[in-house]
Amino acid sequence: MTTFASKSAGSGSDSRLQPWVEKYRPKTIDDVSSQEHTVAVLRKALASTNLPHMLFYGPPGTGKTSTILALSRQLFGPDLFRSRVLELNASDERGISVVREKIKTFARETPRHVGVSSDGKTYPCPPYKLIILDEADSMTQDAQSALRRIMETYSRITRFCLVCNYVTRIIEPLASRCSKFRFRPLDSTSSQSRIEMIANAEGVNVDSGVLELILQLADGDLRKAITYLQTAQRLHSATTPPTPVSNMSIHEISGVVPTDTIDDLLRSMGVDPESGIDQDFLKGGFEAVKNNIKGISRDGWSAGQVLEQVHDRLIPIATIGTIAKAQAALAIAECDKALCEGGDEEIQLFECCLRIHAAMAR
Amino acid sequence: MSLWVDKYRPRTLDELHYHDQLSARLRSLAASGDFPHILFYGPSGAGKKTRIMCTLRELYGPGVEKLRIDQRVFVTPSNRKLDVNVVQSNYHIELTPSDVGMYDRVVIQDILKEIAQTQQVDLNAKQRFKVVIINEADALTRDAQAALRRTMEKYMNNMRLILCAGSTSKIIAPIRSRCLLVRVAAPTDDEMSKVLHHVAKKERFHLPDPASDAIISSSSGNLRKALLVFEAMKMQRPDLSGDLDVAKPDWETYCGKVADAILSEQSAQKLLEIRGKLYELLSHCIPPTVVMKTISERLVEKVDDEVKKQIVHWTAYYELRMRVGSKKIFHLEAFVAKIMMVYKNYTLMGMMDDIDMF
Amino acid sequence: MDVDEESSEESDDYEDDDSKDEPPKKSKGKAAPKKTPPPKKSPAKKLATKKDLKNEETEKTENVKFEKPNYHAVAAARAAGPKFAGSKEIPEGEPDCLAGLTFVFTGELDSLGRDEASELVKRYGGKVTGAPSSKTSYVVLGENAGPKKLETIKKNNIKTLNEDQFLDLIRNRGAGEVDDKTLKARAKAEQEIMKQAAELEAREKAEESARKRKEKALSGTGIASKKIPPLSSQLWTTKYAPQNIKEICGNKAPVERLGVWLNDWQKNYKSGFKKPGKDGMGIYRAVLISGPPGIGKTTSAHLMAKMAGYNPIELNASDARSKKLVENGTNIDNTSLDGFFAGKGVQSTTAIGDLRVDSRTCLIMDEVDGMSAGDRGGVGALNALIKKTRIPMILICNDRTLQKMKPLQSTTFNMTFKRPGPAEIRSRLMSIIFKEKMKIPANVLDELVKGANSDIRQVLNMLSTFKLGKTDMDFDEGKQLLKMNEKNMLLTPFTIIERLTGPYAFSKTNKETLNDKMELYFHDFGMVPLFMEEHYLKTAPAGLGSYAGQEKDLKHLELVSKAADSISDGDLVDRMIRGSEQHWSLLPLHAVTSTVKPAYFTYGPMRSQGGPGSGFWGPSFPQWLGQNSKQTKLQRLLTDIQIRMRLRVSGSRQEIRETYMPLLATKLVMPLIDDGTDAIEDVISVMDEYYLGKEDWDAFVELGVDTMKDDLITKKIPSATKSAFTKQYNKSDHPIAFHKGDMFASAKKKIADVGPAPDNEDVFEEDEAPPDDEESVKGEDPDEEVNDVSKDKLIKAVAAKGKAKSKVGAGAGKKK
Repeated sequence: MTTFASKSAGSGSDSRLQPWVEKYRPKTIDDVSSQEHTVAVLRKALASTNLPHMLFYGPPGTGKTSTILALSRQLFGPDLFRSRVLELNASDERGISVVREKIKTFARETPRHVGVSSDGKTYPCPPYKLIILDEADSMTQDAQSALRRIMETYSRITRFCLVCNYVTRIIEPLASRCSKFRFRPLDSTSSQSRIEMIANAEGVNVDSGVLELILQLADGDLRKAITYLQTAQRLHSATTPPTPVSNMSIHEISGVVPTDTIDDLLRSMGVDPESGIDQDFLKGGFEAVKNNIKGISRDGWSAGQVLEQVHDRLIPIATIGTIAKAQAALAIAECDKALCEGGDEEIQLFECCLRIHAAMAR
Repeated sequence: MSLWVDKYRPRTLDELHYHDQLSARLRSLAASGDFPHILFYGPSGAGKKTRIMCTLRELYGPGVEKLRIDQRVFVTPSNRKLDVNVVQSNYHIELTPSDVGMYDRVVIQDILKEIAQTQQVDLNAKQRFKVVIINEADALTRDAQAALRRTMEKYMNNMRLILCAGSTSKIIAPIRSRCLLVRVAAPTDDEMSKVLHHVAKKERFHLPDPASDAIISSSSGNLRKALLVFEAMKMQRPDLSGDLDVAKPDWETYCGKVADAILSEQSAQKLLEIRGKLYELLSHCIPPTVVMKTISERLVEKVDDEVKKQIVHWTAYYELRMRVGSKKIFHLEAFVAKIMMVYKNYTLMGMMDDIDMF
Repeated sequence: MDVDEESSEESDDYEDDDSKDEPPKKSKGKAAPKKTPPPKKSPAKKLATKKDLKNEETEKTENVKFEKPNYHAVAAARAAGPKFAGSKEIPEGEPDCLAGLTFVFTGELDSLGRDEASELVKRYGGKVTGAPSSKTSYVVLGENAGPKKLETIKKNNIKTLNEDQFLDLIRNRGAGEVDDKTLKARAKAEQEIMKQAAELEAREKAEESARKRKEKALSGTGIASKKIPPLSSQLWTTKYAPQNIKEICGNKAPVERLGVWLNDWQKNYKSGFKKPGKDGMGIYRAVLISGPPGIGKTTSAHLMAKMAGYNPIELNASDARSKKLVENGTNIDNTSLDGFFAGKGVQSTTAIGDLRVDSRTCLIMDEVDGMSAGDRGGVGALNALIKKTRIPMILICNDRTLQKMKPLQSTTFNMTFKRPGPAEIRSRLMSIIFKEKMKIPANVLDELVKGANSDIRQVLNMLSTFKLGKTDMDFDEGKQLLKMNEKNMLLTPFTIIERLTGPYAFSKTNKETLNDKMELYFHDFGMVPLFMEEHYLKTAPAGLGSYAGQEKDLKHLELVSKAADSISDGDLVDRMIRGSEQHWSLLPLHAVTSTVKPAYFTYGPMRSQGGPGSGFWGPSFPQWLGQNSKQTKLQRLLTDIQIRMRLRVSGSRQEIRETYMPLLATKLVMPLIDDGTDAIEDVISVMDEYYLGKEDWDAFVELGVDTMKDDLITKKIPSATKSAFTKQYNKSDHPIAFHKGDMFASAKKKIADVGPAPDNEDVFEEDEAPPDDEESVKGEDPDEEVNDVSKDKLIKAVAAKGKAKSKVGAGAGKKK
């Protein structure tokens, strides 16, 4: 039993507890996986030590935050990093008042002199500070407009980097002040090499095919992949004796619905996952769909997940006519919207499946 | 005099009747010393909270069952007083932040900060972290969830979060990715009958199969409901034999009456009557979604296939509106009006135009 | 033209003549004195050239039997509006061609809406009344005329016209066909007017010369003084303010009584206000005049005070009159009235600045109901002043029924001023108009007065503005002027709903635009949608006119469903407006979706609701408000129950309500019904087990629906059982789950002060707030203590309960 009183547990946190996502964040921009174009541009900017205002956008887990963090580390070094970089993300208060006070105060301070770094290396240390606004698309319109002037007024001593998933949610005046960098979903080879590297470094014992499954489920989101791996590892090392990570537990962790369940659901809607629309299955009608939906909600599967998987499974089936597919896709899209707005999972999914059934029956 | 459902609630992981694999996993996690944040999800009455308490007991021993309730008062920026009830033991604290509606972020931040900055008070505690249980996590606002996300990383050292939710759909991705997702599916019929028989054995009587089947089919995987129904049935008919009708809760029969009223006559006058009934259900704290779903289910049982689809379609349509809107009764009423029209149209014309579906 | 005494009979609302029960006035057999020229027969105008497509649809209603009118059909037909709206040309008649004639409209005309028709009559100087009588000159008969009216018509032998004949009458009847009597009356009235105008003129001249004299005198002394402005540059309202009792319009009786009271005041004062006098006013030191604005309350008060020989001092809303000021400023305890106001800076608004308060002063407190906006004590202080005053006081307010006016009820004599009728105002106005050399026909003036709700001030203001541009006014200009000056009165939601869903609200003849309808919503945009929602199911929609039987029901449902959908849309919009997004610019959209659109679908007469005895015909107050607050209340009770049960039960609020309550009811409530007092013991033990108190038991019962509805249940429990239950519950102690917490902040402080060791014995009562910063700073010693204490208690509790359960503290109540 450890004595709780030991105050040591503060900063030097247990590396075992540290999320691998943090632990294996790229240290330099050259470590960033598979964003060659962006990295090339940034490398040039780094060499000239002159950064524009930047806007990073792209799907989650593609390395946006990692890139800007690595970049700023390379620019300022570990010592100045604290004083020169302000990172704010969605969980921090970022209402208009914060923009007006915190960001503005930080933005207008003139950066202090450049000293020699403690680790002996020399860093470019350009004479400006960097403000990173992670998840900038969740900032309110007001807060964004308040930023406009600040970005211009203090551009001599402060650079901004906005990071977001949806560039459309950034107001036009802000977007036009930044150079935009698009981050693509990671291709499978680079993410595979990365995940293998981590698995080896952490000594994760995996069944065959597990890493592939992880990458498939993560769908280009490297953070998701690493998190899956870590969670699975945690689960399996906890058993006595530790067991290798299995496909089963990856499924469970990721919350992915087993393919059998999805196929059953498809059959109740009149679709054979192998051969397309099947008249026999169509006859099940209302009751068949109902029973399947009941089963799914009883098992606690998330409707959004089911919907996504139904979509992925249904749309590629070649023998289904385009009109039927279009109607099904429409039903799925509308159901997804309803779920996003907080609709009841069971009833929304049920309605969607009935509509797909009707579309298939035509 | 406890109800059976409380009396025979399992207290340790070993006592749990089903999901053995999950129990084993929880046990090993509790023992490993590397306890992650966990998100429990699954339908109501599947045993999420029971498993959470069992896990806590596994972590801290029986001391964790010494519960007490604190009522905290928060003052919102707009000077409104909020009462927040907090259930806690020496080792954990349990909140239902959705009780306070849109102010949940403030409450979460304050309480979590307070917990996280405190060291474990009990010298003999087996773990050096405290556990914070957040109930109805899917009802948290986005703001509150964003606030949680930050906290989860920051206070990892002396605090673990256990979130409890009906579904993961409404939990933002960053939180999901920071938690171990634990799905607690509803028990299968066999598992339920096992539990029922277990209770019967403890109470020293024999549970005939027809009775257990009736109970199980009426409770659709909700074990809490099953046990409550079981006890009610036993009270009404101590020998549990003969023609058993499962007692339905007051609100359910009332919803059924509304459905019957809809089918009996379709007119504005009837709708006016039904409005009164709907108001009564809502004002007596039956959630509007439950009202609508129950009515819809009842209707579906009694109409032709053609109409069924329409009913489900409109249920989904108005259910969503009800979520988004603020005055639930308006949408409920529009729903009933629409169903009346559809049904009347069907009975008069004998057929259904499919137009509205797409 | 004689005085329009029947104008009050005019039916200008939607009230159905057919449904009126009161018998039409019986004629006294006197032959109609008025000359009624025979209607000139002209070849019947060819019926509607432009046939509406609606024609065929409406044919069904025409089949309705005349003798036995089907009310619903009639209402529906009426609601559908004129069949050939606007199909006939409205003729231009000579001005005043209908003067002296009285019309009654009944049934549905072909092309004219009811409002249009009556406006037409008024335009040409005629009168419209609601029910036919012997004085009626013509009855214009339309389709489905009311049977009662027909009867009266027959009895009195009144001439009837159809719509075409009516229009021809206007077209062909020459001007000036006015009978002698009317002419005579008119001449007399004119003379009167001239006389009054002359009087005014004379007075004005006199004042003007007086003013000049004064000015001269002042300029002679060289004192720089304020120039008194010439009368002609003053506002009409000042210029023509009544100078004597004769000139006050209306309210003759109260004004006279006021005069009498003022005259007797000194006498009454001497006798100590003991003698009531012949009208009972003698015991009051003050009078409270109430009435709507602009009918001359203040003017009368001033005038009467002056006439009784007092110097009126007026205090009105522009003077601060809070409690303090009233007390200080008027110094009630001062025994001498001299210096009553002096030096206290209270300005009298009368022009006489150097006025001294003496026994001949009369205090007029205007706008008393506007008093004390900042200080509720104002009226109280005023009341105290009234009790002691040594000078007469006249208090003026608009609404004396207000709560805050209550103290004044017993100390003052209540005098109510009513709006003068148009007739009372007319002569006064006519003379002013004559004096101002304007030409306005009497019927136009009547409309103006009526439109302004008999507010003399408003009419004068309107006329003075109008005179800037023009001196004579015709009917249309009058209407226009009125519209411009329309009083922006806030309508109540009840009226609004009636206007929105009335039988003609969206008919073809209705001239209101979408904007006008939306305007109605903005009168009270919080309430109107709720009223609409309450009301839309209660109409018999006008759109159903041509349907019958099942088809009609289906159509009705369709309309209702559309309306309900629109209301549902409205709620979504409302959410965007009032939700976190605050899109207030969407209000007009909300107006359309929540109010106008549903009204469009469902407008029509109210259905009589339900069975016999309901007979309620107006829009009712929305249930939503009551139901909503009930829900909030029950929700709170449920939360209380849940948190109490929380120590035993893991379910959320909803789970408690949905699954636990039905079963707990059989344990908590049913036994009391079935077994009476014997069950009390068991019930209480279940309650204790779940930490439920008696209030929670009550809440529990209240939360039931259907067969578990609270009034059903409480009726079933014998009252003896109930009281025994209460008694027995109160007799014993019960475990308490927790105590209400203090403020979060203060709880923290308490810990710091007292120290964290809880020495009260009950685990559930203790304020053992979670350890906070201070505690961790303090170190470990308090922690240990907490631990020990709770451990001790654990043992105690377990022992007391004698149960193997390790849950703590259940026995808290029993240890005492």
